Parts: sequence; structure tokens; C-alpha cells
Amino acid sequence: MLWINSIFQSPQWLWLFAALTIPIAIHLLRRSNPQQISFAALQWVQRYSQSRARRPAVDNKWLLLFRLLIVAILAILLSQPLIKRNFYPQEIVVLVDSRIPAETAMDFIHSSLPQLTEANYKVLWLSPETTAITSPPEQNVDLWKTLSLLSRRAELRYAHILLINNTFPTAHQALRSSPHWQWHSLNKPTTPQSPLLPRLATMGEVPNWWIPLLQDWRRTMPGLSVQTLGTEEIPNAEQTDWLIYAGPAPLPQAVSDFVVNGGLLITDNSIQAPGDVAFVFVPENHSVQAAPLGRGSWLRYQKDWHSADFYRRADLPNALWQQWSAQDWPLQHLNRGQWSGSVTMGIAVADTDIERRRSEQLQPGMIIALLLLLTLERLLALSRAPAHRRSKTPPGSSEEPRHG
Amino acid sequence: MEYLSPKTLASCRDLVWLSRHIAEGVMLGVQHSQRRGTGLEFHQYRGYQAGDAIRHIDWKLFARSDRYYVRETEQESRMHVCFVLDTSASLGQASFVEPSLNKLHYAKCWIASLCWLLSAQGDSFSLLALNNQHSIHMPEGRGENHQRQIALQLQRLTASDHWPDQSQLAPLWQYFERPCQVVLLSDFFEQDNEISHFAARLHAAGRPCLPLQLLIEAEQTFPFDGELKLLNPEANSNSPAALEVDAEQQRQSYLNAFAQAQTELKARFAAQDCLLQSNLIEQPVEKSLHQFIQRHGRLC
Repeated sequence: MLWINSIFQSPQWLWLFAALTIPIAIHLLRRSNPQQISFAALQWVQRYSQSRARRPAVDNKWLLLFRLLIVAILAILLSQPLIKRNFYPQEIVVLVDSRIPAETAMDFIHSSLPQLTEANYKVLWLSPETTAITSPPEQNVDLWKTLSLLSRRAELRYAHILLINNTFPTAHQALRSSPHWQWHSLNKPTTPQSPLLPRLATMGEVPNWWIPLLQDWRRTMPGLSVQTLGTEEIPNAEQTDWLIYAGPAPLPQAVSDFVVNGGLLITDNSIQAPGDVAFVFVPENHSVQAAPLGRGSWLRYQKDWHSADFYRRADLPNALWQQWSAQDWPLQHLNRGQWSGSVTMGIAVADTDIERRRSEQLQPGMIIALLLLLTLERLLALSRAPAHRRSKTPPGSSEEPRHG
Repeated sequence: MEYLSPKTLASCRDLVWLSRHIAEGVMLGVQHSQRRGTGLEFHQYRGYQAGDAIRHIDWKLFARSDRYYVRETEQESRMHVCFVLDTSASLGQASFVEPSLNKLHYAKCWIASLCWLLSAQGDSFSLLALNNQHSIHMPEGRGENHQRQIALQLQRLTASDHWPDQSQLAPLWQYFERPCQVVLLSDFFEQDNEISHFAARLHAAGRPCLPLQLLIEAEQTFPFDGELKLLNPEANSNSPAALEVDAEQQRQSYLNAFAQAQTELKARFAAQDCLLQSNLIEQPVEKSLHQFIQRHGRLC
């Protein structure tokens, strides 16, 4: 019965279709009991149509048809069908952040979106009610909840969205958005912010591949700073993010403190972990283990990174960067804040999920049709009444009022 | 003057008063001499009967005998009109316009009114109401009293059964032995031309009858529609008791057949030198009487 629920908003009213039997029954009963009148001049009435088989199944076919239609339309009207229609927005919608003054928004649209001024467009406040921009804006709109809500609206699928600025603090991953939205911001950042880079430090005897790797990284990420620490030096978690430790086997206490204070320690399998550190394999990579240690984490390779089968691979710079930065959650967090609106963000709501069924458009037409049918039915029923009134039956013969 | 509406006609129970009222309307403006129903020559005393006018009671005789006697006088007869009224069941056909009015009631009013007119001019009249079960004969008489008695008798008549057959008609011929003018009221819905035969035989016997056919409007127009079950008040072997028809389909064929039958009927009576007058009972009695009197000038 789920399909009924998807077609009708109130499918319980579909039982009203059983009422279709009422007019049929009335017409059939009328048929079985024709009007009886006494008529002395019967001898001049021909007898050929005496057999009931020649009679039509129901008389007043049009009247019956109208009555059936009235009942059916009433049932459909009450059960509120949801008509599926492909919704192609007729006009372009601009949703404006309610913190922006209306004049500023209009100025921005005229200056920055000249393609809109030629087309048919309307400007709405970015609020759950999407009121027109001529009305006062709503205060304290939860931008992300509102955007997520509006992402399911078919008529807003291709909207332009004007925000006050284009950088977002956090929580954008809970956002649902339409992939067709076009984002604009009033305050464009003056210089595109480069993503934050981790501060690197090495300790001990670095492997041979480190220098080429670093050169490769510096090519793509200029400004990457690398510090070389002596084995006696104490790494500072506030100045260093990633520490590549290739020193002697027992991990110095200073390095342990660095991890506990929030740093990321990267070692190979030559460093044995203390007993209380619980390593787990990194998902989808069984050559590397990670363990939380205080506020930081320890990334340890299962292989000796001096061996050739560790570093003889083309994607070594990318793979290591991904593996290491995936473990640095504070860095990820900081970089997330710099994420720009020009990138498709949030969870895209697929076109197939859009609510396209609408029932509102159907009802006025059906009410008009119902009234029209009622009028026609009355007209038809009453137009038969005068003929009936002429043929009043004399007392004594049984008469049933005919239709109407 | 205003004619009585069919509803008034149907709802009025006092046929005596009604007939006199109608007759007054018909006679309106007619210059006539004072012609009471009583003559100058004393004829006989007879016992008082219901319907006799109280002023005709001979009070002196009452004082002597302590009985009511009515003094009857003789008047030379000018004409004797014999009303023959068909009281078969088909005369019970009611109008579809005014369902409380049927053909028989109309005929009663018509006869009683004409009797009053005849009594006013001193003619005598008698009544023969017949069907195959009962035949009621009111002998020839004249005057107000006779009209009153005929009206009372008419009031008791009901429509039932059929037109009498030959054997049942045989004893009735005696009523036509004396010269009389027969007025025949019926709907002339015959199975086997039996009413026409009756009229033809009267004609052959030198008693030409003046026929008045009573119809209802629906019989001329067949205004019905839809499915109908038509009940025949006079069912017999030839016509069924009931017929289910589709009125629209039947209308044209019925109207053709009915018009054909009417033409034949009129032709038969025209051959006997008596014009058939057909009246709808929805029309006023006065009009019908007027037309009848004008058509048959020898009557009044």
C-alpha cells in the first residue's frame, strides 16, 4: 500500500470511491420500477417495445455519468493526489543572506550578476519561508539549517546564493546543498589564503629518500619549513607539527613529551613502542600503524624505511603526504576553516531526492470542475422535471418521483 | 364571466348546485321567458321524494293527510333528451393536469348542467348510464325536481367494467321506443366498434344520437417520457392489462395511431349525420356546452 501513500496524501478517502455504487444503484432501481400510470388509450400504444431486453441498461446515461463524475471528483479531491511533475524553475532565484541589507544585495546583483538583469529573476531572503526581499528580513536565521532545508526545494535548485562572506567556520559537512547552486559572497577575501602547512622537523639520521621528497614537496608547497634537530635537542610541540624521528632505538623522553603535547611523530619499525601504546592499523593501509598518545599521535611504519621496497615507488611524496596529513587532525581542522565556497561543499542533494510532487495546483481546477458538474447535473435533472410534472399520475396508481 | 377551473370542478361535491351554476353561466345573456318546470295543467299527486323542492309540496294536502305530496302538472312535451352515459372503467381516466378530475366527473357535470338548461326551457330528459354490470335508467321527466334527481343519481355513478355486449344491451332498447333525442357521452375507446354500432343502430331506429367524446389532454399529446408502465383500466383479450413502453420511442407511433382512430371515428359519425364533438376535460364545461348547443341547434 506504500504506492498509494506516495500517490495520495489522504488515501483513506479513497473509500469514497465505493460511493460510486450509489448513483448506479439508484439508476438501476429506477429502471426496475418504471413509473406506473393508468392510461385508457392503451390500445393505440404499440407493443413492440414490451420486452425489457430491448431497454437500455440504464436510462439517463448522461445524468448517471455526471453523478459518477461528481462522486469520483469528490473522492479524488479529498484524497489529494500528488501529481508528479518535472519541475523546471521558470525564473532564476537569488537567495540573499538576511544579514545583508536589501539595497546592498540589489547593488551587488546589478553589478556582479549582470546576466540576471536580462532574465526573469526574483530575489528572496535566505530564510525557511523565503520571503521576498521587499519584506523585512528575518533575524537570527540559522544559515546551515536553512540551506539544508532549501536544498530540497525544487524551485530553488538552480538558485544563486549571496552570502556575506565566503569562508565558513566549521560544521559545513552537515550542510546539504544543491549541486546546481551558484555561490556568491559580498566580501571577497582580498588575497586567496593559502592552506596552512605543517611545520616539519627531523631528528636523527634521515633516510636517503628524504631530501628528494622534501624537494618534491617544496615544489608544490612553497614555504614548507623543515627544522633539523639534534638528538639531544628537545622538540617543541608548539613550534613543530610533524617530527620525523630516525634516531636511536629507545624513544627519548623528550620526543614522547612532544607527542603527548600534541605533535605528530613519524617513525619506522626500528623504534619499539612502550607496552602501554596500542597501535592500530590505518584503514586501507596495512603497512602503517597509528596510536594516540596524549594529545598527539604516533605514526609507525611496519617496514624499515631505509629499505628499497619502502621508497621505490613513484607516488611516494603524495602517499606520505596523505598518510601524514590524515593523522594531523588539528591541521585538518585549521585547513577546513579556509575551505572556500567556490568548491562544491556539503552533501549534495541528488536531483532524484527532490520533492517534485505537488497537490496544490490540482485542487482549484477540480473544485471548479466539481461545481460545473453539479450545475450540469442539476440542469439535466431539472430539465426532465417539467415533462414529469405534466405526466402526473392519477390517484390510485403508484408513482415514484423520477430522477431529480 | 370566469370559467370554472378543472380543480374547482373536481373539488365541488354538490353536483346539483354545480350544474345550476354552470348552466347559469351558459345561459348568461340569453333572453328567455319564465319557464318553470311546472306546467299549468294539473297532472297528479305523487309522494314526496328526496330531491323534490319543498315549495312544490301541497301543504293543504299535507294538512289533510299528514303526508307529503307533490303536485305535478302537465306540460306539453317539446322534446325529450335521453342522455346515454358510458360508465365503463375507461371513463375513470383522470386528467394528468388535474389528477382529481376524471372523465366521468366531467360527464356528470356536463349532463347535469345541460339537464338544468333543458328544464329551464321545459324540455324533458332522461338518463341511461350503462356498463356491462349495471345500467341505471332515470325515466323521462322535466323540471327542476327531475334535474335534481338526475343530478343525485349521477353523483352515485362510478366507472367500472366494460361497455355492455349485445345481450346486455337488448333490454335497454325499450327506453328508446318513444321518440327522443339521444346524447351519447363516452370516450369512444372501442375494442370492436361496439359503441359505434350502438349509435348506428339507434340511427337506424330513427333515434339519431349526438355524440360527445371526452378526452384528456395526455391522450392527444402523449407528454410522457422515460420508461413507463401503462396500466389499462379496461383490460380484455385484445389489449393487455399493462404495457411497459419507452415513451419517447412510442410517442410518434401512438399519436399517428390515435389520430387515425379519431379520423375513422369522426367519419363513421359523419356518415350518420351526427358530428362527433370531442372535448378535453381540462377545458371548461361551459365552453363545451356552448359548443354543443351551437352545433346542435335543435337542442336548445
